[in-house]
Amino acid sequence: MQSFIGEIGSAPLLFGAGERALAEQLFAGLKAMSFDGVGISRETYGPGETQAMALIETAAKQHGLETCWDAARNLIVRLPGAAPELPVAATGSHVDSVPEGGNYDGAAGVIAGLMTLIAAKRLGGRQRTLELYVLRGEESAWYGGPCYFGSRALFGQLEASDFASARRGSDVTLGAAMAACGADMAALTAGAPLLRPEHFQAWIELHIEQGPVLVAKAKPVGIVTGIRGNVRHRRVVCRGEAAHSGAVPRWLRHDAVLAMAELLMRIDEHWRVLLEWGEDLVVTSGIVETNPREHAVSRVPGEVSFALEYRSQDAKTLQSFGALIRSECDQIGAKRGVAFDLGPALPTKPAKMSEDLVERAAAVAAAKAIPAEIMPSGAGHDTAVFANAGVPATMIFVRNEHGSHNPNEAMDMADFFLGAEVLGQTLLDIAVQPEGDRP
Amino acid sequence: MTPAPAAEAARIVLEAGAVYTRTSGDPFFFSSGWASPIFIDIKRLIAFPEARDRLIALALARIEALYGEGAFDQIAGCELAGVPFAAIVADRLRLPLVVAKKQSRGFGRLAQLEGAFDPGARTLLIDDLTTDGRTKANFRRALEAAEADVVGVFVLLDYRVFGAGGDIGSLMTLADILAAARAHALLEPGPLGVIEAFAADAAGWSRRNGGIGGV
Repeated sequence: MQSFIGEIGSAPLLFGAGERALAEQLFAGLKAMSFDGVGISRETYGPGETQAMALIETAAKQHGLETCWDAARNLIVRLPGAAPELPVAATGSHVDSVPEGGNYDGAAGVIAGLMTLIAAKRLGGRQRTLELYVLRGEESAWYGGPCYFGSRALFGQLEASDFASARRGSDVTLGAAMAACGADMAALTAGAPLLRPEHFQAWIELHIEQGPVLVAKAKPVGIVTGIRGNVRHRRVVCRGEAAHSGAVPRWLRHDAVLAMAELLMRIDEHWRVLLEWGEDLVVTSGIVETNPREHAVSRVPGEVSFALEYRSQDAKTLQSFGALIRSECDQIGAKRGVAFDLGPALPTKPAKMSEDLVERAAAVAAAKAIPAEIMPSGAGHDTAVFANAGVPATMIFVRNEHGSHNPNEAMDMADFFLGAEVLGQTLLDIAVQPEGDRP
Repeated sequence: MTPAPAAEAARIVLEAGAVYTRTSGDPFFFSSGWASPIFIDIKRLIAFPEARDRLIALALARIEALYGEGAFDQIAGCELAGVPFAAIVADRLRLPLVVAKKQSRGFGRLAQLEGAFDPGARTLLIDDLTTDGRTKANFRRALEAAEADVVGVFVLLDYRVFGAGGDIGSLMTLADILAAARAHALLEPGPLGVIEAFAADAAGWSRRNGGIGGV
């Protein structure tokens, strides 16, 4: 891999004016078709998602690329190499969005991938086939977790509970929405993988960064070392005993809210100490509810429910933290005379990126004098599904202000082109090399 | 004549102003839920170097009488009030010190402790006082979970009126405090009578005054 380093900072840029103009045009086209009055809405397995995919397919065909749709109605754009029997160099991302979301979340990776295939066709000289996966259903906002429906379908991971999940605010199931998009439900419910992990030599996804790290570090591009997994308890219920707020003394109370507050502060304290000891962890309780039918200012709360989510790059940390939470629930429960019911824990596994691909991408960035931060991903991505299926993978992040999952995403096109350079060049370098083990 | 160690310790505590009484109106409520007409703030003694010094000397003699010489590899102090006393005892005995916390933080064998020791370390757990022994059990569990050999639990004051307590060693009891108060007229006779009645039936007194009536 020394070959790509060459003279640091002097390597030529991959993309020409044509690819850059196409990218601007596609972002504008997507925005025009998906604007909902506030932000961008492209629903998982909905018409907006399909329409966006059709826009990409049209552009791909106009540039002489092959396209096809798989059984889950993901769009695959392909540029065959001279040795099509070799494992492919692949990229991709999703085109669905959260309601009133931003235009770049997902779409940036699809457009950068299309630019890569178009530039590769122009340059020639590849052995490996290059593929772009335009994936469906990455967001959990429409049908709930664990989502990543499009990428999970590739590896035969969709389950009956996925197809049965109901759309937010309606009783339409994901299975019905998929069928309406033309998905082959018989094949998907049978659970057979659409692809084997060995199909891929490497998978690299470009995505806007959804946290504040690149802005803070003043770097346009990030290269991802790992993706945090998470454990979600959608509804933890703490049950104590309701009582009159004036008449019952402290030591006779079983106050569910104070017990929950103690639990959350204990969790916060464990979190603080674990960070001091170098663990990777974030913890959130995003929903807290007393029951409006019985709660009152003058009533000691007998019940409270709340959500609990924790994320880490390390599966062992997630497991140990889960045990710690259960032990705190038991201790606080015994002390305060309440009971915590954690309900089901929905896990998404953390994913480790390929060290070799991270090094290759970092070398490309150095050769092109693109400042790049080596960093973990706090948010989940389709790439975690690829990595956990056994595909060597990494991600390229592009600096983005104001976070994500809101209409104020602010990605600078100059940053996008720098990220696309790192993505495109890394993939192309892999595609020209016929030999070598999978990284 | 040298006074008995418990009587001398009780007098030190009384003279340091660490004994508070409420024999009319609302009683004290301990964190364990007991109602009591007397509250003894042993922690206050850390502010008086002379008195503190004597109290520790008495405690060291009592510890040796109870457990023998060289019985421990380390001294453990209970968060928070046990820590200063345990630290001084450990210092006098030139022994390692470990702090047992009320709650664990993070993962691992020492998550509820501060310090370092090998499994099997013979340990004396020290706290300022005990009412019914429940919180001591928590500290003992933390040490035992870290494979310490907890040879003894020692407090400066054991109320010894709320039952339980078990095998906790102590320098003095509430009875010693009351005897010293009477002998040296350190509490008013009226309140002292109420407290003596409480000491005779603490569970009943607590229940009648709005507290818990048992563990």
